Amino acid sequence: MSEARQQSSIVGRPVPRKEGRAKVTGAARYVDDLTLPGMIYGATVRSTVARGRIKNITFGEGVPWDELTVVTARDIPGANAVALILLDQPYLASEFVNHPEEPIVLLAHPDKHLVERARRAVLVEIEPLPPVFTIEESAAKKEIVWGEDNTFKSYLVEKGNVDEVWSRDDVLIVEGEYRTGAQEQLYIETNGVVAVANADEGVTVWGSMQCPYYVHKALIKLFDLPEEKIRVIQTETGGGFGGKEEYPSMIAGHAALLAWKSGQPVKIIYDRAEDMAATTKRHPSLTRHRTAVTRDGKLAAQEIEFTVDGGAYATLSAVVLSRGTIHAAGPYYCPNVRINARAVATNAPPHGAFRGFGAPQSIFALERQMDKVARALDLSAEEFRRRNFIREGETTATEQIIREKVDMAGLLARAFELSGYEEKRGRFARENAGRGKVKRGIGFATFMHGAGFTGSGEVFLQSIVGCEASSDGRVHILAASTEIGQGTNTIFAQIAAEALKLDYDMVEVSRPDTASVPNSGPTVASRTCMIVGKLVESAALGLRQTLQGAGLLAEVYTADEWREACRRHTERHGALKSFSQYKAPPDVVWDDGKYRGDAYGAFAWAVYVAEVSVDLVTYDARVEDFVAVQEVGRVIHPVLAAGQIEGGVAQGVGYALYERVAWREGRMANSQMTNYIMPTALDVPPIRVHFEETPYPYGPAGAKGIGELPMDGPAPAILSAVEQATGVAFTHIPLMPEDLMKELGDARD
Amino acid sequence: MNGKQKAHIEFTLNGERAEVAFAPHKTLLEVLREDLSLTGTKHGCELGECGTCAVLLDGRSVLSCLVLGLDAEGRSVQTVEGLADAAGLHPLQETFADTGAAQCGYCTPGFLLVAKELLAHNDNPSREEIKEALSGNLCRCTGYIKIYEAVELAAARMRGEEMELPREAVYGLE
Amino acid sequence: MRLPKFAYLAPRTVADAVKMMGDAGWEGQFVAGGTDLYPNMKRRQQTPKTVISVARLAELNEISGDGKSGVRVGAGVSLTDLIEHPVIVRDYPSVAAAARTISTPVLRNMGTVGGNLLLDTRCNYYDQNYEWRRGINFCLKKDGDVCWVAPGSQKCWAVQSADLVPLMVAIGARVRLVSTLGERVIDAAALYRDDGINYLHKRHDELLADVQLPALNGWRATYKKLRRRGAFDFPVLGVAVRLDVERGGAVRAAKVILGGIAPAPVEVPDAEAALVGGSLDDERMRRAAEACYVKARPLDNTDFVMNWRKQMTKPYVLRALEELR
Repeated sequence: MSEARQQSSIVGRPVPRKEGRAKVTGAARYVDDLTLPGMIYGATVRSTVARGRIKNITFGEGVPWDELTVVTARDIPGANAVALILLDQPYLASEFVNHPEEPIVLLAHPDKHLVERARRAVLVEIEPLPPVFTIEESAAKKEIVWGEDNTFKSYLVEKGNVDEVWSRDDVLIVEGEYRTGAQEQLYIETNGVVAVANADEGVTVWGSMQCPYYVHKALIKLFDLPEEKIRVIQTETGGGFGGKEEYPSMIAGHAALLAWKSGQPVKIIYDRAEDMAATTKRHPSLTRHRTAVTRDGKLAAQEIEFTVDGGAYATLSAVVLSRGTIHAAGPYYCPNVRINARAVATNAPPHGAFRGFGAPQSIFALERQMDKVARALDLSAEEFRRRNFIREGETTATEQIIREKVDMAGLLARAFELSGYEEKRGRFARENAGRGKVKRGIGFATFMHGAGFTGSGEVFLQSIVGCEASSDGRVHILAASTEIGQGTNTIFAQIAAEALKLDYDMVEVSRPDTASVPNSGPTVASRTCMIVGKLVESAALGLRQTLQGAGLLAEVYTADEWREACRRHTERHGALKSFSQYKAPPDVVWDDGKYRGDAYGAFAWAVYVAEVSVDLVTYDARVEDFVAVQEVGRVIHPVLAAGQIEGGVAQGVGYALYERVAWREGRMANSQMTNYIMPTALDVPPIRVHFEETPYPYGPAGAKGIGELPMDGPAPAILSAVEQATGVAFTHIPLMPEDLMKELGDARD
Repeated sequence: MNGKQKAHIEFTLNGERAEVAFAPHKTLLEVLREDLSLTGTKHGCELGECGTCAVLLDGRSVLSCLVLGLDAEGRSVQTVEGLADAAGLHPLQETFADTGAAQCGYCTPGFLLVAKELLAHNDNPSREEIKEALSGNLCRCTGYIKIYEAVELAAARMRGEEMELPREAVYGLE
Repeated sequence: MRLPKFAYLAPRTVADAVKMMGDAGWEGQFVAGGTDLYPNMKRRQQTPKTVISVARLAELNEISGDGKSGVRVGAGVSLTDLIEHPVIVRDYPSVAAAARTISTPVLRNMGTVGGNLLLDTRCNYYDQNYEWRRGINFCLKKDGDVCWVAPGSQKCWAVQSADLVPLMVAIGARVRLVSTLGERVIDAAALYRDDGINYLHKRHDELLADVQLPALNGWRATYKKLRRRGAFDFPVLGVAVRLDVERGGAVRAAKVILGGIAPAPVEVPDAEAALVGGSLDDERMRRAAEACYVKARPLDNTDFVMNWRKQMTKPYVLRALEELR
């Protein structure tokens, strides 16, 4: 039997998810499904205060302490710092604690029940120091809680000269201030790892994670071991959304330290409250806008002050801030832009990566500001945007010349058509004038999201992907990119199969294991498809070139001929492998000092429309309908792509209207799924998705990035719709009923 | 101290008689995962707040994190491992795998069992009925929409109807 | 999260159950569905030494009678069975509707009528794991001596949070309590006390055996629940109203009960007085809603700010009355 050559395209078709069968039968192995002989269970004793000096640690009565493995900072063989960007965050606090839930002591025992009891029996006495909890307090240096001035990182973007614009008499100046709250990723599988560690064999960690090589790098420092002595293996991962980008380095280190000391395999699985309270959340933000527009509705100047709360340690704040900064001026052309961005320290647990990575925060502010400016100009929100959409050949805030084909006005028209925007906008305006207590509104947001690491990030990463063909002709993709639900396995197999004109089932994706896959970089930043996928494509093509170069394969071939060529090649030469390393597309230039240049290889472009109802009696705002229109290059897998959009929009609905982290002295007070309110099946609106497909020449089969994009648009679109329903331009999220009541209460009759 | 004193139960597990001994204060979730090595049942909160650990107890969905193992004595327990039979996957498993209803897959076993319970009582549920029935299961990946579509498609197939997903469900709005 | 260790007893009869409880004393605890007790035990809010399961006692699993005579609902009946029972659906739709607002379908499969009626009071400072509570040096309700909701208060302000409670009180349901000393039947209203710790007028050794719904003789009732999501959430305000309306349309008697705002369900006599004596017109409804608004004084110890919960009293009372008009 031989497949027809040049079979119908695999890219663009809804092929079955690679690990789908395993996930519906219970066969998929997540980290807590792993058991090793002699394995013991770890637990973490944490600070209950925000800032202070550790005075004493007491191991209470009623626990057979001699049976437990106990690890403190003194047991660390290498550096007591989580290696990420800076080395400021300890694995275990030794003298000072800087946030609630900071780890201090690790415990392990074979009996899970006993280890929980032991954790309750450890008392850490901490002399409190004055903490800082808000962006304002931190910026005002009420206390210096980090470094010299509480500042993890700042950026300045300067394009043109905004200062010359403010005094012009042909411009209108509009100012605004916008806030966003923390948000918990709330993957359903909590963080967890299993570790084996000893001096002979080194350290091996299995875990739920997005970035095996981040963990690898961190463990090298923690144990002061050569890299070949550290092995990190990703297990099936029950969601990440950024929440398993940097934190696994912490929990993996903890489990490995316990394993190192006890000589036994150690498993640590966080319970939900610990995961919510102690691990990272989305950075809260405060953005101030000052915008100058000409009377004919053209942007003349944008001055943006963007500040995020990074929590107690630097973690990834510099990079989150960077993405937020670059997206802060949006998909508009403006000749003069200044963005002052800063990540500041507070005594909250460190904030970190979460889908969108700073962009949802700054885009929320920008889109609300754009609505405000339009109102000041007496233009419709859409007309104001149409006059300012960036076009091919124009420059972004970082002076990146847009070279790809972009048609924001076209996307806007499509989104309006699919959502019935204009008809509804008019109808709601009429209906809202009536006496009904339920008001309706429709609103939108227009935005872009850069794919891949920012600026020179991809160049520094130097990502590598391998492809190996076995003697039976099966192709194995070797990459560190993780499947976390978004479909990495499936799209990589599609890309390779398409490139080699082989059947989808002939391609497999190897499990990310630092012992066997090269470092293709982290699974973040909407880079997996566009950046790593492109490497998959070229590594796959490398296999074919090798076979053709060896004269074993014709230019045009059948699957059987491919198998035969692989068999003959491996017989003669052994393993048939091909590797591909990242090269920046031509003309991509980035200046890190001036924060200027080509921030991203490509952008995804989108227009989202939200329809809401607001009950003026109960102040309940609900999203009734949602249309998401985007251009993400070629769509590799329509069902997975739509799934990314739908899931992201649902998270965006939560971000806008439901998900509030309740803080008490820097400590999360609602770290439960009953009172940290993520939307249930009854709270998510219909989400209708449309893709415009404009193939991107440097992406695999023409694809760009997609994963983070849907997080950016919902919140501003929803608040814009709430504005139509209520007449109030709200400026913060989450927008809770009590907030609506506060503004609208007096308007009640 | 170490659960020396063990409880012992006999029950029907995925259609077969089973016996197991375990520490008496263990939940059914812990017994399934730790004492029977059936790790298909997942846990998301262990406090009854997410629906992830749902299994069927005498055909009815329960949260295994809040049922004692002891309470399974003499009863019938079905987990995700028991959904497929010799003839192959359950229609819900087929559609969850193929239509994007399972992304990270971690909440999937719970959804499958609750959906199975729904279809046992209602072979043609409306979208609203599906939402209501699944409202105790949290999913963070999908926004639920592909899950509804998978349940609808499985229900149709179980009614003996030839059905594929509508084009819009696969390719989005056109 | 592991349950603490405990002895587990599964009696075959009510008589055995209450005898076991008599023997266990203060360290004993009945359990039915487990959806309230086991999470609390995992968080070490409750740590009984002996847990006595009454879930499978046939005597507690029956629904008998009808609207003409009144209905007796066993305390062990699951909320799902209550909602689906044909007599309840036909004769007591308000009971079925209120039960349907509880938590989620899966939890209603597990949770029981009795469990809901006896649900532990809830509070933001109490419904936390051990480590979190230790971080605030515990609270009055468990292990501590300060009420963080109202520091200085000698009283615990944990909130009555069960959806069936206000309705059962409003319709005048009665509950049967059984112990080794015998049994007694009391009004549901008399079961609750305004103290977040000792929130029941039930002796510890008494087992709630059933709830008796009064015969239908012209009254109608409804329950309205304030929450944010369509599922899961506990009420942050509940409004139950029962009206007895004469043939001519005049309200003969009224009960208005608020839940989710205090340690016990709160009756609002002024609202009841406002409703009685004439037909249910806008003015009577407005006065009743106003009386409830004045009476409702939620504290800041559930989800959402207390002012919103208080403000919602009026529209929720109006919605309830509107439905009964």
